[in-house]
Amino acid sequence: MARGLYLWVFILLFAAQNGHGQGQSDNWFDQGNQLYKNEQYNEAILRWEAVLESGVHSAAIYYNMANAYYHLNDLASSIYYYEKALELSPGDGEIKANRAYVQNALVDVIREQPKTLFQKWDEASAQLLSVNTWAWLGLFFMGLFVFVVIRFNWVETPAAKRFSFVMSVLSIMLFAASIYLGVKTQSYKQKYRWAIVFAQEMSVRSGPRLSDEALFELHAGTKLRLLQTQDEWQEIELADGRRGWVSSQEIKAL
Amino acid sequence: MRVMAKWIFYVVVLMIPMGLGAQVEFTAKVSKKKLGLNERLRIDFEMNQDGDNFEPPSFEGFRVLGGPNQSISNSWINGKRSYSKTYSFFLAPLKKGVATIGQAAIEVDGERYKSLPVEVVVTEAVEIPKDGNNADYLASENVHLVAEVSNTNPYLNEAITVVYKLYVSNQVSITSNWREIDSPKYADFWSQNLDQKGQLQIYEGQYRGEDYRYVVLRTAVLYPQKTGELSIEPLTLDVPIDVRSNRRDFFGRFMTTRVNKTISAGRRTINVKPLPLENRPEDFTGAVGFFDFDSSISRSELDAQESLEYSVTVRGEGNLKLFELPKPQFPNAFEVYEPARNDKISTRTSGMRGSVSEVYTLVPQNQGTYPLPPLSFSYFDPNLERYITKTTQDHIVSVINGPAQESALQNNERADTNLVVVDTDRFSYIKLQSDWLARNPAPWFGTWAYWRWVLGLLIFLPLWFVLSAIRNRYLGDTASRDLRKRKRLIAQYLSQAKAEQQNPTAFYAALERSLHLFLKAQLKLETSGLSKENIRALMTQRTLTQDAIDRLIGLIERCERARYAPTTAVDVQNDYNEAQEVIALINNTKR
Repeated sequence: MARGLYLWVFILLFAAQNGHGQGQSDNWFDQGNQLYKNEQYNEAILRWEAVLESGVHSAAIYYNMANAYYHLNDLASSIYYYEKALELSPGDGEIKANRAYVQNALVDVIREQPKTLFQKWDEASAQLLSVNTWAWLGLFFMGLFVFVVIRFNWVETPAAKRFSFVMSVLSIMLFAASIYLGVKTQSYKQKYRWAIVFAQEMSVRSGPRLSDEALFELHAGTKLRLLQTQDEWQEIELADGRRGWVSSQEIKAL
Repeated sequence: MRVMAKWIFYVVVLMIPMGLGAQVEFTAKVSKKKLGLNERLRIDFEMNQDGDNFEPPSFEGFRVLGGPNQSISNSWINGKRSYSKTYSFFLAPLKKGVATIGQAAIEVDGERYKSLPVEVVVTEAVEIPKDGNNADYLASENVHLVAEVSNTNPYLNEAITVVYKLYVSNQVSITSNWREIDSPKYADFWSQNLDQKGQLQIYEGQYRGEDYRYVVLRTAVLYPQKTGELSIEPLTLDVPIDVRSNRRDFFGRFMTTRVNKTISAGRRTINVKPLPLENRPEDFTGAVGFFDFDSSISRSELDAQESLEYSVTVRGEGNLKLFELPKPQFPNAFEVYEPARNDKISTRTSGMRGSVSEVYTLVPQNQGTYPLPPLSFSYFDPNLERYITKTTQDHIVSVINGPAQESALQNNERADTNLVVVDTDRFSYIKLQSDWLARNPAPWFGTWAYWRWVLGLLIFLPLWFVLSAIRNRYLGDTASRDLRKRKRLIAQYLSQAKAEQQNPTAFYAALERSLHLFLKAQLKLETSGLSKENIRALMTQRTLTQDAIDRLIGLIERCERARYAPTTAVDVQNDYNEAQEVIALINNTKR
């Protein structure tokens, strides 16, 4: 019974990975690429949006959309899609390089607060791999652990037994680490939600009312961290630690 | 005949003005229109034709102190005759209020003419009764300084004009210059005086319904800076006024008396309306008037480290000097210098007019395409009474050649920003391949399904232990294990011999071969070294019991004997059993 269930889960996972309207998505994606080549950026974006609406995404498609928006001089949308692409593929140098072009054209320069080495590690560890990858790694190390424990009983020479023992300890530790980092990545994702400023210029206020004092101004394309929400208002935090309230209509959550 | 008719026509035409000149004028003139109860009033009924049957009015509310006094003047100047006949009365008012002196009538050439009724205001008794012919009194009554305000109820920052006019009646004249005692101060106003250039122009005008001459002394444009009631301090002048007296000099001209009078324009109060709060745009900075708004760049394509100019211009009419121009925002890769302000404003009576512009010098540091966001400018239109917002188009600056990474200067400033240093010197092309992922995958990590996977793997451990325990127990029964082993060995070595049990010769040959094979396998011997002594020695080394060795040797001997000296006295069955036991015994002991 249980074995049958796992089999089904396995089959479903594979189906989700491979069989999902592959041909149609690729087709639209390629059409978009062709339109981009012909500098028909608006039409290309429409094609790619159709792909997104079909329920799949990728770093590549977000990156392409961001490039198209840059050519249309829509900096906020461009930054938005670069950030989306980087969420899926955090280490991609090409995406970062093109994003830097757009960041140069933005008005705001947000100085990041200095961080201790530990904080940097903490953040880097939460962004190292996706939650799913950690999940698979956890399963892999658990499998390895089970295998080496059995092998420990199997083999007879002392050298092989010692090797198996060390391997079993190592693999159970790696399993625990994977689970820990997976949980951490997951909670980081829930805790750190981001948004991009879409309004050309907007005031950040001290409270969620128009009558509250305007603390400072932000311009299109600036990345914000979302904190709490009340009605149409959103509390935000900048990379330099400044906080305030903005109207939800002027920003777009990633 | 026709010539004659033409002449008659000319004569008739020329006669008409003469006939008009002979028109009868009959007027009533009072020496003052406002007097105290204890003062006196003179009224003259004047006509320019000789009339008869003068009929004075009833003078209700007045007591006639004297009159009628009749005087006639008839003069010829340059052949032109001027004639006047006057009836004068001196009156004393009886009560306060507005008294009306009724119509007088006269008859000229059989026709009756009537004068217009005159209204006189009678006030409380004054301390010093004024003489109607007093020069001081006449001066004060005939010279007026007026501040004319174009709009006493303007909006905040809406231009108003104050014009100071000096009215002088025909009875007095001003021949020398006046002196300004007190200049008006426009507190709470932004003001600019518009000075008259050169000689003062004299205009004809009306002051309270009477003909006056006036000069414009000064014009000031004011922009109220505060709402509510604001007052304009008065302008005060010391004016020498020449008043004609009744006396005449030697040549018969009227003598004039010079009177110095201090006259003031009076305090004016202006009620300033605040600008409406509703629909006020967020970028409103106080501009009131009618404006055009524009922005421009000097070039749109350039290399890094070259400069371009970005100018913001407001053009129009209104409080141009009194508001801030919208501040544009530039991409952070631009070095921006302080803007140069360029004002071209002229002030007229209607207010300020012209243009204000700010020119920014920009130096891009990196290559790329930089859209400069559009600017918006809001002003209040006081005529339409609403706010108007004007927006410029956005400009796009392409920086073609230049470093892609940030400049050193900015790098220092942003040591800790998340900006990355661009490695490639070109904007990369799109990606043409894509691997698709589900956009909203069901959460897997941390769910029950995931932990089932982990448990599913872990369950292999107890499963394996259970399985191996079952196997051990299965293998752990030694007696049956030995039996099975022996059976297996016997089956292995003695199968051939067992098959030949009916034929003793073949049986012993097979048995011997089998024993040799068994010993070769067990003792790791070559066939060549398989002598009985050899076997005995080896067997002893292997700590086999003497009995077992003897039985083995005995068995081998019997086999040999049966091969070389076939006899009938052989016990095949016995020897087969013996072989079985010996093999089992040796095999067991070996362990």
